[in-house]
Formats: sequence, C-alpha cells, structure tokens
Amino acid sequence: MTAQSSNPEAEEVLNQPPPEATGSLGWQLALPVGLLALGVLILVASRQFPDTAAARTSPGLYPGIVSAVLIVACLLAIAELLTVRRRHAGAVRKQQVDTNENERRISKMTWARAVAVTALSILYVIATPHAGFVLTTFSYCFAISLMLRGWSVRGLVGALLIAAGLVAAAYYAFAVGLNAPLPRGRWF
Amino acid sequence: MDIGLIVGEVLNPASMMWIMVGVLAGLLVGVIPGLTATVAIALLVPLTFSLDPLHSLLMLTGIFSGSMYSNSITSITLRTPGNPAGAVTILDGYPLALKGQAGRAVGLACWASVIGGLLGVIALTFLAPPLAAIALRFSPAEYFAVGILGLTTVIAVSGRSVPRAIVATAFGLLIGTVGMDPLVTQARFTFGQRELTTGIPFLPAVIGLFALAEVFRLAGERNLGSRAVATIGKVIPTRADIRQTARPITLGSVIGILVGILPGGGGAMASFLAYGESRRYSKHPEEYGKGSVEGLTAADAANNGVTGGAMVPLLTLGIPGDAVTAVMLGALMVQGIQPGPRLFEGGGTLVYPLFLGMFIANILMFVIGMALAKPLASIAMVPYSILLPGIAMFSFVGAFAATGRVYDLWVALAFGLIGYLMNKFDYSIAAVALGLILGPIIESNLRRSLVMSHGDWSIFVTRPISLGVLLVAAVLLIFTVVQQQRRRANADFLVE
Repeated sequence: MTAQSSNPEAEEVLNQPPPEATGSLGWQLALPVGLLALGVLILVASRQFPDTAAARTSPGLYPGIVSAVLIVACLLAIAELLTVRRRHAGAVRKQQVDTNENERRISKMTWARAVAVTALSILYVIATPHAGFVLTTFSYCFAISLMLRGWSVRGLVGALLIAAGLVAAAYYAFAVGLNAPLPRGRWF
Repeated sequence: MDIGLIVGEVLNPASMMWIMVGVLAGLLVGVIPGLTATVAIALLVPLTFSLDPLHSLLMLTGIFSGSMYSNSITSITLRTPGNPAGAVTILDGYPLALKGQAGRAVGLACWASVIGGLLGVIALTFLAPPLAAIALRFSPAEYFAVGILGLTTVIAVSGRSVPRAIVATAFGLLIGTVGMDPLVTQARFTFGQRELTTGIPFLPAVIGLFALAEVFRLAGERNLGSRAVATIGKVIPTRADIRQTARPITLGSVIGILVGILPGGGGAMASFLAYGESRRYSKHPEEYGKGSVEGLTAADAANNGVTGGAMVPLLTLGIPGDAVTAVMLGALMVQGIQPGPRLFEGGGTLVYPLFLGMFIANILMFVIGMALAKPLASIAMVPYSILLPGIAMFSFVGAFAATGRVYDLWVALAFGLIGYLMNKFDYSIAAVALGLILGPIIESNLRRSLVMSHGDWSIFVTRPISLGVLLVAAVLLIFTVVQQQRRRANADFLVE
C-alpha cells in the first residue's frame, strides 16, 4: 500500500491519524502517568527492604531495577504521545469538527453499556460469597443478556432462557462433570 | 527394549482407548475459556488413579496434547486464550476469524499443533539424552539471559510503540514481584494481605487480562448486531496453505522443542519466540498481527513442540519444564513413578512405550481435532447476547475453579479492568502476561547468578552461552527500535 494508491479505502486509512492522536489528552495521559507514579512508589519502596546477609541480592534489587525501567519507559511513552499529537494536530481538529451530535450520542450510549457491564461484574463478585453461584450467576447473565437484547417480551424470555442455560451448562460441566469447586454462598 | 514389545504395549485396544479418551477429554476441557492444559490435567488426574502406570501416562499425554491444541480454538474464535501461549495465537488467529476465516485458522492451528507435537516426540525419542546434557550445563546466568531474550521478543512483537511495549512488560514484571521473595524470607508489596504472600495468581490474572477485558471491550462496541465471526469456512488446510506454512511450522517446532527442554521455558515463551523469529524471516512481515497464517502456525507449532521438549527434563532429570509438566510430575508420583534417569534403566519399559503413545496421541489429535474443529469453532457464531455473559461467566468460573478462592474472582476482575484500559490505549496485554510469567524466573536466576559471582555483574557476559543469548536480545531490540523509527519517518512523509 503506498501513498499513490488509487484505492479510496486505502487512502482513507492512510489519512486516519493514529489512535493516540485522537480523543482527550487527559485520558491518553492517565495510564502512563499512573504507571509512572506506580514506578516511583515501587522504586522508593524497594530501597526500604531490610538488607540481608547476602546484601547484594537484597529483596529490593530486582523491583528497583524494573521500576527504574518502568519510569524511563513511561517518560518516553509520554514524550512519544505528545509528539504524535503535535504532528497530527490538524487531522484531529478536522475530525473533531466532523463529529456530529448523533455520533456523540452513540458514543455515550456504548460507553454507558461498557460501564454497566463493568458495574454488574463488580456486583457479581461482591454478591457471590453471599448468594452463591447459581443465583448470582443467573442474575448476572440475565442482566447482561437483557441489556444486549433490549426491553421487550421476546428479549426478556430470551434472556431468561440464556441465563438458565448458561448456569446449567456451567454447573453440570464443572460441579458434576469435572468435580470442580463452584462458589458457595453464605445464604444458599 | 524390544521394538515388538513396545508396539504391542501401545497398539492394543486398551492402550488406544485410553489415549483416545485422554485426547477427547483434553479437547473438550481445553476449549473452555480459562481452562489451560495445566487445569485440564489437574482436573482429570483423578480419572487415572484406577489405571495401571502405562495407561495412566498415555491418558495424561493425550490430555496434554488435546488441551494444548483446543486452547487455540477459543483464542481464534473468542479472542479468549485458554493458556498463556494463546495470547500469541490471538495476534493472527482472531484477525483471521474476523475476516470470516475462522475455520481456516482453526484447521491450520490443528495442523501446526500436530506437526509441532510429532516433531517434539521425535526429538524426545532420539535427542533426549544429549539435549538434556546441554540443558544441564546451563547456570542461572544462562536462564536469566534466555528470559531477557523472551522479553525483548515480546517487545518486538507488541504493536507500534517500543516505549509502550516496555511499559507493559515492566508492569507485568513488577506484578510478578508481589509475594514472598524467592531467595529470602521477606514479603514484598503484600500490604499485610495474607492472600498476596503467594503472589498474584497467574491463571485468574490472565483470564482477567484477556477474557474479561474482552467482555468489557465488546460491551462498548457500537455494532453488537453483527457477530465476531461472519462465516466459518473450510477447515481442512489447502495445499497452498500447507506449502506457505511449512517454514514457519518447522521453525516454530524447533524453537518449541528447544524452549521446552529448558526448565521454566514453556509454551508461552516458545510461542512468543517462534512468532517473533518467523516474522523476522517472513517475506510478508507486514501481515503479522493482521491475520497472517505464518504467524499463527509458527506460534501453534511451537506451543505443541514444547510438549515433547518439556518431557525431556521431566523424564530424564525429574525436573518439570513448565506448569503442565509440574502437574504431570505430581500425577506420576501418585502412581508411584519417580521420573529421572532410572526410568531409562532396564530397557525403559515405561518410557519407550510412552514415546510411541505420545506419537499416536498426536495423530489421533489430528483426526479428532479436524473432525470436531468445525463444531468447536462454531462457538464464535453464537450471538453476543449469549456470548458476552457466557465468556464472563466461564471466566469467573475458570478463575475460581483453579483454587476455589473468592479472592481469585477479585484478581480476575481487577485484571479485566487493567486489560481493558491497556487495550483501549494500545498497551500490549500480552507483554503484561509474559512479564508476569517470566518475572519470577528472571529474578531468581539474576540473583542466583549474583550470589554465584559474589556480586560481579560480569558473570552474564563472561559465560559464552549467556553472552551470546544477551547479544541476540540486544540486536533484536535495536532492530525493533530502528524499524519503528523507519515506519514513523515513512508515516510523517505521507502526512506531509
């Protein structure tokens, strides 16, 4: 594929800025800055391990080296990100102008769905030790399935069947077939 | 041992049946996301207790081979690795599936696995004693160097940015330092939590990084109406595919065997190395990561090549090469078999039939694997309203099944969120996983080397094998950086 390609799809791909050049800079920086802070914390902590008889192989030696590497790599990654964004500033501005209201609405909706599944997963892990495998897993699968199928009678019945089928499959495969442990609840 | 006796021990209905049961069980358990070959063997070991030692060994090797291959199926169709090596299978297997070639990818993965497995058994049979002797001469310095080479390889294959790949790798290495120090009695980064003293459990972490992160990503996709895999094409590899993949499969098999022989190596390191090396020698390196059959088959051949290689130190020295062979060692000891040089004494009445049994297990795996490939691959055709809760549920169940602790559910969830964020911002989660696997190996060998040399760091460059491996790693890293700079310069030219 070259710049002279007559294929419009290929040209469109070539004109696309790299993913790190778009979106909020704050979000893009969150991960490398967070990991940079983690690296600094570990570097400091690794120097505080007590020396042993074999001091040259103290417990802090290896984490210290790796955290130093992490710090340098994070700084390089941040520098690289800023450079890429500066280079593609024009393309990004154009893309921001092109983004219409409908796009923003869809983006918010999909983001909300991802957050909802994440929240359901957190609730699942919190509830499992109390309510046990069958009840929590059924509720968890039902909620995700219903969210994807949509609120309708057909969607509701389908989600119920899917949740029941998945729980039965997991129960018989693991607990009965493989004799593997499944979470037991305090209540059930 | 007389060859007729060996053949008679294996080619009888009872032995053949147990090999087939093992292969089938391995295929069925291994295809469930989160259940690695290690977990499959651990779960199925009780089935072998009532068998005699040979049948027990044959069944275990059948499970080993079957689960190693079927792990690839979920990597290709669901982007959910069944084992760490599956992270490499995803790189090209999943893009192929997205192109509607899931059947082709699964068929080629099976073909590569079988060839890798067969070559591994041949190597085990004929090269075991001399290769084990070489591995015996390795000191911690050499193991450290091989670990570093593994890391540079993952950096080389981890996306467009070297700094981001190093960030991800270093993050994985740091996660690997949580828990008890490997040499002295000192807890590190445990914050007083008892569960953390044994370190971050690997299986829940990997399930979270790959499977749960994918659930969160898919939930945020715009077009959930379409399926991940449009169509499942022909499963049987074509002649053209076989010709095209002959070189990467051979390369992958050889790397898999060699890495398998090294204690601590394992399928993940072999797959990463094979993938990187095959990309370097490929005529189409630009296709890697976008659905290259060469990349897919090199990784899968290496993954199964390891099965033969890993049995070398296990059977000749009694040292497990990786987690799977560690579980197998436990299973053998339950049977009253103590692996080691004595197994080969008295004509090797157990080991030579075992070698033949492993050979047959691979052939059976091909037959059964190809026959079942299409129905197994069709898992990806399931609608998202079933697939998403299904992956999420099996991820949590898989994370819990390994140890039976609720704590592991939290680990899987936390790593799911980490994996989601890293994916979103283009940081390699495969690099995190490999850092996590290799971290403890690299650290313990680094520090043992320094103890040996009384703190003299030159030990790593004064030993020829260690120096050679480190030089290869350095050249690979420099080559990767130069390549990235060139790509960036070309991109800048196009933008201007």
